[in-house]
Amino acid sequence: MMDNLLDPDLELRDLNINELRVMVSRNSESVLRRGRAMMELGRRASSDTALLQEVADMIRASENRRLITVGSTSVSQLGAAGLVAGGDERALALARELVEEWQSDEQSDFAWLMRSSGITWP
Amino acid sequence: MGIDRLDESDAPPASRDRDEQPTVASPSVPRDSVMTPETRNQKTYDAELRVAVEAEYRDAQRASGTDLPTLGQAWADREKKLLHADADPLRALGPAYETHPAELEAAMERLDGAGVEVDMRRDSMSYSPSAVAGHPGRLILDPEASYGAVLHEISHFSDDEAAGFPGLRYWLEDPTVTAAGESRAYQAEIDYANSIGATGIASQLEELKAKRISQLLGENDG
Repeated sequence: MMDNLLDPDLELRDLNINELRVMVSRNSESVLRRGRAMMELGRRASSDTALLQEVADMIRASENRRLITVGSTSVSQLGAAGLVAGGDERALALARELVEEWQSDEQSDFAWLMRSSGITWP
Repeated sequence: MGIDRLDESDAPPASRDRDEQPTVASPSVPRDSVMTPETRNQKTYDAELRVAVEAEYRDAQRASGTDLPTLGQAWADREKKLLHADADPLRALGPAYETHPAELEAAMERLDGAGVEVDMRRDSMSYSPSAVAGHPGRLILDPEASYGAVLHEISHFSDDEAAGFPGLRYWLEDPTVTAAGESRAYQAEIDYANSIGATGIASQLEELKAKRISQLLGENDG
């Protein structure tokens, strides 16, 4: 079986939303875990519409756009990937809207991330 | 997928010994053994290198004991988009296509052979693993990147290749594994800087390495 970034993150599935929020925003946390928590929040926003706006704000935050996890993948990009992974149409539309707000290099990096995960983007 | 080669306008100038240089890229190989065997050009190169290293040293001396940034730091502040750690301080000594054309070409051929997508983009450098396991990733490289920066990114590619291209999730899961890779990548740059006597730049790279590893591990996590 191919391991895909968009597959569920089993290690984080037992954390509640507040624990994920704290993980994303905690400066002393590993940037890798902050990114994974951001992605998990994005994923959960598909089934929790109250979370959509909050996730959008976190993805828009300049700090999360600048915070690089691995390669060119920022915390915000992982959040947008989480919205895509969740599968809900509203979450997907939000992901498109947010990515369109980014600079062209960020859009290009996210498009590659999606393409390499097998998603046609945009 | 494939190498996005430099177009003619960005192409490196004809190298002094493009076909004669060894193709093994190693930070530990002394510069004299990998540069041109043509004495005249070697002397010119050595003189230029000495001037650049001395300028870098004077810059560090100028800034020491003051709040002034070194020129390298000022440059790093300006070039916010360099992803591997906001800086390529070895660029002060020249781009890889001038200092190590054969090694750069060998690196590009290796990436091409592995199926890595290469995106030549100003002010950015990174190697991103694929989102799906089993596939090589993508390298973003500034056309003006230094040889040290090339070594850094190739190190990340080598780690991904050695792990069997496990996918981005793998590299996100264990901070200690990713931090070890980052440490190796920076060490390749640092060893190269020290090998050419650019100890000031090596110190800058040590600082960048410590900062990035702290970010990867979490500030309270070792």
